[in-house]
Amino acid sequence: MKRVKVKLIGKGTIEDPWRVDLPTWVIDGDPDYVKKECYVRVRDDETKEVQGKTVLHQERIREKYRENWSEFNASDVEILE
Amino acid sequence: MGERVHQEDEDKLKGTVKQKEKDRTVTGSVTANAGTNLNTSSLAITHTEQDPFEITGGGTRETQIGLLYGYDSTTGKWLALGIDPDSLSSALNVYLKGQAGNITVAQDAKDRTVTNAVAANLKAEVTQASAARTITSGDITVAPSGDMARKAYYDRNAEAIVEYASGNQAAGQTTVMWTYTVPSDHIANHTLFYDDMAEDIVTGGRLVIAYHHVSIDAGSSYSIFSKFSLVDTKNAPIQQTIVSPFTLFATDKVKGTISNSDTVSHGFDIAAILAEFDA
Repeated sequence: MKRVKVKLIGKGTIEDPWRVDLPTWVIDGDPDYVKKECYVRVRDDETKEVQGKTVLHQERIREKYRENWSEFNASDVEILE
Repeated sequence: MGERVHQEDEDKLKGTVKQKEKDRTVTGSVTANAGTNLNTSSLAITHTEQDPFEITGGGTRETQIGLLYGYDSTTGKWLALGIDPDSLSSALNVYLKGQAGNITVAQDAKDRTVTNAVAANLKAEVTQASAARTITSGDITVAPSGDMARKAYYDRNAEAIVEYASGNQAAGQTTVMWTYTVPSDHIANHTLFYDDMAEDIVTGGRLVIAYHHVSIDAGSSYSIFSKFSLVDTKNAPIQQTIVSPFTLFATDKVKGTISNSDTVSHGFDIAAILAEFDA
């Protein structure tokens, strides 16, 4: 699993909970609800290294979950570090 | 699958092939004299319907009926047609569902419990399109179909999936702690859900809830497990472990959520275990 820092989406309510817009992920540590950031762990094959930085593997995610994520854009999930 | 053997005994092999179509029956026959290559005795069948067809055949001796193979020139595959061990003496009934195209049927005699043994190093030649070809065990493939037996799930590239998050859920926050989506062409067996709410007294009238949602076919998610934590004694954790086996398919997903409407944070653990494997 690769650890990346991402922006949270949602409002923190039961109807619209804080979450990450990825098919599979696990929160790692306590989120920062003020900055709306958290660390998450993502499957190794769903990330790749670009210039020493871990980014989401857009093509892999589109293919791996093609029924509902075929139009996924990695840029929609802001990677902070 | 073993080597194909060549018949060298004196008996004659004769079979009748009937192809059943919707409103007519096509009959053909194949005859092979003992000692001849099967490529001179195979029958080419052309059919245009994806219907099963029946092959009845027989010989005068049990050694003559064994494994039947059909070559489908449309797919380029040899298909094992199966055997009918109870009908060895007079008739062999097998069924093949194939695609439109040419099927060449050949027969392989195996060294079974017979009165006259067939030499082990014999080979058979069967017709493939227009060229004779010697078939060895590595050449035979069986086309998969819905009726074929499959490996158990744990032998289909199975992988254990553990979704686990722990921490302190801040006051007034609801957060999805993990989400698992079944990938395309995969199946997941969900086996266990666990959550643990620890410490701190929940303020009267407040709720701290661990949700386990399941979403089928990427549709609405339903909370299938949820627990209200009403801890009225400090340092008295509440824990639940639910063993719940159910199967999820591609696009289905599960997620673990902690909702804290209290005015203080609460420690938690929330986890699920699944087995993911090839569909």
